[in-house]
Parts: sequence; C-alpha cells; structure tokens
Amino acid sequence: MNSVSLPSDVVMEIMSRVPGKSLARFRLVSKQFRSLLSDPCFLRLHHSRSRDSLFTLRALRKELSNFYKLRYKFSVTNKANCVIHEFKEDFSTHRRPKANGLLPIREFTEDYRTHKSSIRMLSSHHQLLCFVCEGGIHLCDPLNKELKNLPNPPFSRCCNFNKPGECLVSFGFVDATMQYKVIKWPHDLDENRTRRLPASGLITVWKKVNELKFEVLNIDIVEDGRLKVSPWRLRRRLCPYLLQLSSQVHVNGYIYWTTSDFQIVSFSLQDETFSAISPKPPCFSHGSKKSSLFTLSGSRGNLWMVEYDVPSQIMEIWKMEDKRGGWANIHKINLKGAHPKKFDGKVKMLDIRSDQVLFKLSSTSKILLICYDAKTNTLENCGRESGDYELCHSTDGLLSIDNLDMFHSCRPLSCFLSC
Amino acid sequence: MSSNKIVLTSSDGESFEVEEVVARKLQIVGHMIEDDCVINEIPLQNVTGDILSMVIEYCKTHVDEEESEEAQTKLKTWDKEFMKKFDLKTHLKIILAANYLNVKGLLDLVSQTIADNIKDYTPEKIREVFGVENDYTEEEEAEVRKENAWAFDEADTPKP
Repeated sequence: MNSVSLPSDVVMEIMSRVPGKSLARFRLVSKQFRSLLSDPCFLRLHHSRSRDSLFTLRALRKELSNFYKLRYKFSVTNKANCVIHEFKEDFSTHRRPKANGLLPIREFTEDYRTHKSSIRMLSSHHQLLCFVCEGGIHLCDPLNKELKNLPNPPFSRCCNFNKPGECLVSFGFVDATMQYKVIKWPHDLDENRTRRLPASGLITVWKKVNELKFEVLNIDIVEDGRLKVSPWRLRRRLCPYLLQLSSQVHVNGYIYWTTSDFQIVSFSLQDETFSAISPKPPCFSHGSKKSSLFTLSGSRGNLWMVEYDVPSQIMEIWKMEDKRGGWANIHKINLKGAHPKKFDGKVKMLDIRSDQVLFKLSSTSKILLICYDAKTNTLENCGRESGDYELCHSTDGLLSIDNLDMFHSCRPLSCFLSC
Repeated sequence: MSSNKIVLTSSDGESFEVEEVVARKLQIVGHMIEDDCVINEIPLQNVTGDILSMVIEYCKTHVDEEESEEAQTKLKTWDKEFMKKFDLKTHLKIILAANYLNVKGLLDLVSQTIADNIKDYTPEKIREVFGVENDYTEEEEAEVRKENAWAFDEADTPKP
C-alpha cells in the first residue's frame, strides 16, 4: 500500500483515539513517532478523549477459607459492557520473617472490633488505583494487571500502618499538572475524636486542628509513560474541620469528606489546601435529623450526596452542580421491599447514569446489590455477595508501572500547563 | 438562511454546485463567506474531486443536525455505513481533506474509524501505513521493545 504523508496534527488526531496499550507498542515505530506520543499536548489530548470511553472496574473482596488471606477478584469491562479481562490479587495477614528489614508487602490487619480489615481501594479516575494496607501503599494498574508498592516514608509521624482501623490515605489525579498524589494523614487520634453514629459504626474524626501535618507523595508522568515517584514531603495546612475520615471520596483532583457538624470539606490535591463547600446540600442543612445516614459518592466525575432515612426507608440522591453552585435533587427512591427486613445498615452508591442507579446495602455479613430504574421507578435485585463489592471507573492511559522511578530528582513535564 | 448556490472546485478541476448551508459546513468556506470574500466559485487547491464529493456527501447528510435521540442514532448508523464504503487509504485522504477544509464532525468520525482499524497493527505495519522511516538502530529498537514489553503481550489485547 502506498502511504499517505500526514501532518503531525492529523497523526495526533488519530493516535489520541487509539488505546494506550497499542500506543505503547507504536513507540517502536520511529524516534519521531515516539517523541510525538510523549508530547505533553498529545498526552493531554489522549487523556481527554479516553474520558468518553470509561472502563469499569468491579472488585469483589472475599476472605479465603483460612481467614488469613483476602482475595480481590477484578473484572474490567469497557463501555459496551464487554469483559476485557479478569484477574485476582491476594493480600495476606501472615507475618512472615522480615526480608531485608522490610515489612512484607500486601499485608493487612483486621480490626476485630468492627471486623473491618484495614485495606482500602482508592480510585483516581485515571488509569491507576491505589490499595492501602498495613504492608504499605500499592499502585495498581487494572488495565495491565499490575500491582507495585510505593516507598514508605522513613520516619513518618503520619499514618502508622500497624494500627488497624480507618484508612488514612488519600489518592487522586490532578488534571492540570498530570500527576498523581498520595496523601498520608496523621493517625494520632484519641477517644474524644471517635464517635459512634447510628448504624454506620465507628466514625473517626479529627479534632479541629489549626495546623494539620500530613505527608504528600507526587507521582509524575514523564517521558514514554514512565512514572517518577518523588520523596515524601511534609506539609502543614489550616484544617479547622471535624472531618469524618472514612467518608472520603475523590472527584476530579479534590478529596471530599463530611464533617461531624454537617459540612462538606474539600481538599484540593493541586493546591493542597482545605475549604468548606458552600452551599451545603439541603438535606445536610436540616442536619438535626438523627435518623438519617449520609454518604458521599464520587461516581462519574461528580460529587453526590446520598441521604438514607432509616424509618421511612427513603433514599435521596443529590448532585453538586459545580464547585460554587447549588445541589440538585436527582432521585428519591423508596427502598421498601428491597430488603427482607427493614434495612438499617450502610447504603453506598456505586454508579449512577441518567436513569439508573446501582447501590449496595451492606449489613453485618451480606452485601445486597440493587439497581434502580428511574424510568419505571422499580428496584431490581442484582445479586447477593458474601464479600465486599466495589466499583469504579477508570480511563485508558499510556502508563506503565512496570518500572517505577523512585526517589530520583524529579523533573515533571512543566509545559503541561502551557498547552 | 438564503438558498444561495456556491460552486466548489477541486484541485483537478471538478466542480460541485452546493447550497450555501452545505458549503458552510466546510469551515474554511464558512470563514470566507463571513469575510465577504466569496464570489460564487471557490477553488479548493488541496482536494481532488473524488474526495471532495465524499466530503460534500457527508456535509449534505449532516446539514441539519437534529437534537432528537432518534435522529442522532440514524445519523450514527449512516456515519458507520458511510465509513465502511472506503478502505484505509481513502480514509487517510478523507482525513487530510477534512483537516484542510475544517469539517469538525467528519474529522472526528474518520479519525475514530482509522484509530479503530489500526489499533491492533504491529509497529512495522504502522510504518508502512504512515510512511514512517524506522530510524532506530537495532540496539535502540531492542531497548524500546524491552521498555514496552507489557504492551506486546498479545494474549491480552482485546479483539474488536
């Protein structure tokens, strides 16, 4: 076939629509081609295009029979709901002899009071996920079935991994600088800062601190989709809020929490500062309603507030229109009949589309998945799981965590901002 | 909207008489009309007649973009069928024309079509299609292949 010579903007137009894995292969075409695929403007274009073709990652967490192992079963599907692949990762509680003085990776501990294991999946909405457990922090690439652990800070004041309980790590992706950030929050909590809320178990709350110390790790995207991991940096910021740590969700470069005095607080991963969201969702304003449970959700690039009123079994879903704007009531769902008994466990929204909502009802041992169809106003039972079930969306990318570049002097692609 | 006719002439001298609304879909022409530098005939130097006729066919079909879901689905089906008629070489010619004439919708459509077709190609085949010279030395090529070994794991590549 005779070739047609194309200007580079046309080649970019085409290549920005090719899956990341194919592009990694095309780095072999020529030096010029490779540098075009590494161009920050190209990466940005590819990132923005792949947002239209989200992958869905479903993770089912199960305890294996010996109770010392947790198995995550992942299933990755594309937009058309076709399974791309499935894979599993095991995490274990076994305390193996320390090799080279390091803790074995992928280790977690279980909190026997709540039966909650201290392992948490955090999504960035951009190719990579993060798993946090006692053994450390792991990056996971669901598209290439890889898991890699990140370095621990040598002398950390923050997040003592030997203490089971809440996950005190946040993870997200900053579009503007094309970098991932991992944040470790302090773990020096005392009894006054934990309180029991109705039916939702133990909620860990920080006291109001004027200067909160935390640690930040940057993961920059450099040439050829390699990732450079910076050293941990210590930060101090004003944080006069009573954050409920386990409520955290990540949306577009912001981490959100509810507070125990009915506010929503955001943390900008780019600026590394806290601020309270105003206005609050209307359901939060009459926060004195003791029978309601509130959860946040960061599904599909939006922040959602889910209110579940236990006596009436009514679930309301609110959507934040934009950072400054108001809240819109999207759905009001009656959960009567969704559960054999009156449900007073935890409600969590997993996914939402214009006329469908997927959520899980978790009580002590069983998880119930329910799909709500707004067109017909009906609830459908989508299965009962004996493990924990999580769902997140991820975009395609050209990254490989195969060889993470740790601790070297880090020079990010600074021209990202200018193009 | 006036129903003025405009004549578009290709590089090989073929002329097409189209309505102004259709011609405006070619943003390059739209700008000329706004700048008042249109007589009634516009020579388009970089497009041959056979390709221009395809672009015009696309523009005619997309002339009134209706919002309704039904109309959108119908257009999408038409787009798919339209693209199926041509081979990769023609797609590449269309993309050049769409880029030069600045027809956004067609540029998106044909880019996506090409992307879908080439995504499983080998680097060798990409060189052939895009007319790229391999300027790696053997050692360099082996190095790059090693660095990107994860992408060459064929069993995982999703098939269309």
